[in-house]
Amino acid sequence: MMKFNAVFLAVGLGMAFAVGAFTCPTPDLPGNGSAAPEIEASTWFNHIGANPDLESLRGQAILLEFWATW
Amino acid sequence: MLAVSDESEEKVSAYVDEMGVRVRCAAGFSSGDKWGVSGYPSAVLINAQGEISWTGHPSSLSSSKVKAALKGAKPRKGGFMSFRVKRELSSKLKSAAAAALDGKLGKAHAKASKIGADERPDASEREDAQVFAGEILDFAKQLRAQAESAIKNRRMLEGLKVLEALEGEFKRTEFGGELTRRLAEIADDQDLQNELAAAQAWAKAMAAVEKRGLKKAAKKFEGIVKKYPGTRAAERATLKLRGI
Repeated sequence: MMKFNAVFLAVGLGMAFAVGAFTCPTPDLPGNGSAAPEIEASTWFNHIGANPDLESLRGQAILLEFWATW
Repeated sequence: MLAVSDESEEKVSAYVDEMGVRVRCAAGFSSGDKWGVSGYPSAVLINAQGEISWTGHPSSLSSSKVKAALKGAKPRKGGFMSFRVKRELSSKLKSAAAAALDGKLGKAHAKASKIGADERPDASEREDAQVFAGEILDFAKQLRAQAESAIKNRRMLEGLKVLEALEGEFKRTEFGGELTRRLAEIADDQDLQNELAAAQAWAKAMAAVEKRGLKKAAKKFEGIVKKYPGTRAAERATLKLRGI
């Protein structure tokens, strides 16, 4: 049930971004074309090197996936 | 690809261990609200220019969107050994800082240590240099810990690559000596050497998949299961074969 809602919300958000920031009901959320907000986390796994952040990842494409263990 | 969760380190760590997750993931991700996350799983694609180019459910991401995002992408300067301090350093440390950013940690450490021991700079510059040298060494030790974690999780090629790179950077130092001894220990460890051989066979099998496709490379995965039973590579090979 939760998963369905999450998919629906994610798709809904995506559609809102596609339509444009002007019609988006929450204009303060980053949309397509806007600069990426910062990436900050306390602990990284399966990673070698300094903690990833936008500065160290500059010039690379990033796929940021948001997940939870539940 | 970065998989981020706002949950605690313990929760994520347990999940990663239990499920054998191999992708880069994070616990305690604190910027969720800035990204407008309102459900899981969701994903954001950031292009090589640092702009958001797509958001949505991970399964709906097309390869054409990924290709577009990769336009103009450049490899990371200095690689995994790149070290950057976020504070202002004295001008005398400019060269050492540049070396550290470039991943030349041994060179950076040597330069900073030399300035820290030199009588000519004033006391605060010497202290700044000594602190910087300490920070570089701490970072190198952090890399060593990450490499050991990789080896523990049987990511042999990655772990050894890091230990060998560090050994090369810190030749003729105490830290370098520790690494040489550790690498000799690993060379004498039958279990780890078996895992390493299996990992190398896995890399060959994956290259064959790239070249000839999964069906044609199947024999290689069967070979791994037969020749290296009980290794992490054999586990993965078994799963790979199930997918054919």
